[in-house]
Amino acid sequence: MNRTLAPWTAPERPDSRTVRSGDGALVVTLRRTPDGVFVERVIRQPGSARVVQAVVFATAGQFMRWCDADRARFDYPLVYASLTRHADALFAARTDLVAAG
Amino acid sequence: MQTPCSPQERTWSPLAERAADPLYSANAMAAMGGLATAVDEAQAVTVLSQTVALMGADAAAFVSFVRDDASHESFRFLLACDPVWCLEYEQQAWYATDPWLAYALTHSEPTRGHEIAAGSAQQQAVVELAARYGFRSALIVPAPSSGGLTRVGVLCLGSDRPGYFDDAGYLLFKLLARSLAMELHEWWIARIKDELITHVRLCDEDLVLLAHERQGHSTKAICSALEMTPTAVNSRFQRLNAKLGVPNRKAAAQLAAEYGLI
Repeated sequence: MNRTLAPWTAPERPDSRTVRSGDGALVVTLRRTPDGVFVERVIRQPGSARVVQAVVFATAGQFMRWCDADRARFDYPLVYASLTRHADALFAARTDLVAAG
Repeated sequence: MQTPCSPQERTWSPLAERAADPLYSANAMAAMGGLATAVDEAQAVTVLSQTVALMGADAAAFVSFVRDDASHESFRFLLACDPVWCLEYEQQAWYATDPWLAYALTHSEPTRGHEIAAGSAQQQAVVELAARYGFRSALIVPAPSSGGLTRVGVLCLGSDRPGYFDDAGYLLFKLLARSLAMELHEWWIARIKDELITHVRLCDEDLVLLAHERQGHSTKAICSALEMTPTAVNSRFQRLNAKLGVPNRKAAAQLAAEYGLI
């Protein structure tokens, strides 16, 4: 039976930004935290396991290095374009907060 | 600043030396206690990162595994290490041949990476990948579940130093690691249980129905116990199956058990 485990996936929080691929196989959520930017990446390819990765990036550079290492960016270039845009905004807002003390 | 995905460079000292600090255990336990108030994965990752740094490890990953039904598996990683490791791991689908994960699925006692045989070339490749990302030395700590459930947690703690976990500090480290693994596992089960209840909106009657199914009761027995008609019971199960995204009521009851609902 072809089905998805998505029906009870947590809804987007108001302080999060979520980017989904058109086929629903890849969902990445970003959220600012006191330590940086939290990223949750969920991937589900047909016939394979659902894999969820949760990590906090302290800098935009670390995040970009991670994006560059992700081969899914070739399958979902629009997702990654959107992700980097959101991440830039979140890191910039965090920098502003730190500067403001 | 200590950050979850890039452990801070710090002066290296042997594990035995760190463990001999009178505050070693107390500091690690205090940090671990932060899990009690962690409300989401971001906070759990931060607690994991802070705790393992105090314990003296360079890297950590907590992996939780659950088989939702016969053909669907989920792996969730909380990463306090270089996350590129996890991307490479996932892209190769190495969870299928990971000797450390295989160990955790069938054992309950912690063990060091070098004590687990990596026989095949693919298994050796998995270990070599981990070594490149901060797990040159590793301690594998299973957090199993009982009662015929598939869900299992595995804490993997790493050091870039070969033999780091082989000195006199190991026994205390292992004790703390076991506590951390069990705390993370408990946190994770509470988290997924909460997710399921909140987002699927299950009520007490649904849980009673699922518990009956889990115990193998027939429709007739369920009807008798709950004073419902067979049509009502079947209809209720159909709605539950749809909400949970499973093909049948047996799978619904299994999923509810895996997620700690019944």
